[in-house]
Amino acid sequence: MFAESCAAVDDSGRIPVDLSARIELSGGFAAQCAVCFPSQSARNLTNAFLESQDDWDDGMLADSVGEMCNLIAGGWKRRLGEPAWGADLSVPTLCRGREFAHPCDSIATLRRHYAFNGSPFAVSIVAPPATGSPHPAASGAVPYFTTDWNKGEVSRLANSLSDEE
Amino acid sequence: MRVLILDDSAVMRKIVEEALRHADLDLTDVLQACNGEQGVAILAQAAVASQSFDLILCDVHMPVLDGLGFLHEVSRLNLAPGVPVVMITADADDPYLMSAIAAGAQGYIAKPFTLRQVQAALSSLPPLAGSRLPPPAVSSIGGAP
Repeated sequence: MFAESCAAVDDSGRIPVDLSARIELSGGFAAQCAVCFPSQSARNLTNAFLESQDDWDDGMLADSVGEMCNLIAGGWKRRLGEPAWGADLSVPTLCRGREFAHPCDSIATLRRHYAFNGSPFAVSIVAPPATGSPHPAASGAVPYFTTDWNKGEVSRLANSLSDEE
Repeated sequence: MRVLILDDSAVMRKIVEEALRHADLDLTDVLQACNGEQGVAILAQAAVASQSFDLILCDVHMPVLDGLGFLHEVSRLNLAPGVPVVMITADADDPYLMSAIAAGAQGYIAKPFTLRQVQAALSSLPPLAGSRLPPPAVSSIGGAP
């Protein structure tokens, strides 16, 4: 479906944001997953999805970014397991020229930079603390940002998009 | 083989169409809808013209009318009777997906999918006209590991 490998990259720099997409989880587990793409990365993403070289109209750019957010959010929800069982995924909301602002009551946010074929993009997730857990800001724990995430979750997810098994 | 693809993402509709072509399906007509309401309209027009479909692939979450709403409307209006509907989802644990199966969908493909997973999902359906897929050996449903 997406025959590109993807790897976590140094996230100390700034990625220009031309297209962003956000998906919300709701229904017992309130969280958000967002992706941010520079325009060239979004073009490369679209070319990868459609296996073509710029042979599509610009409306496909937003679609591609939204779909990437959808894939990442779905994969994250699946890997969360029990806390997110029964939660709903929204359709993607898109934004041009800036990132989505995180909700003012956000508890914990994690942001990582990734790249495929030299095309950088950023993923950020916002999640509540686990029930009964201390506030993550106090404990330093970020319960819903699992070690899988820290090991390059998006990288594995993106690799699983390859048509090669 | 006539196929209807419903998804609010034009990119995903294109990806699904290409996956079907690569899955050895002899596609003669591929119609696309961006939501369930449009999908119902296409099926209604086809019914008036005495045209039938062989396969419907439908996203779970769409604006205006989602996949579950589409299934209910198709059933209520008796459109495309007997045509297999396969849901497409990024979330295999989605409760709406389970409701869609209960409402008549005959399987699902989980995104991201490989070509083999698409073939496996379609092979588990009753034989499709225009398909060169082998008969089902093991019922399986797609989804990334």
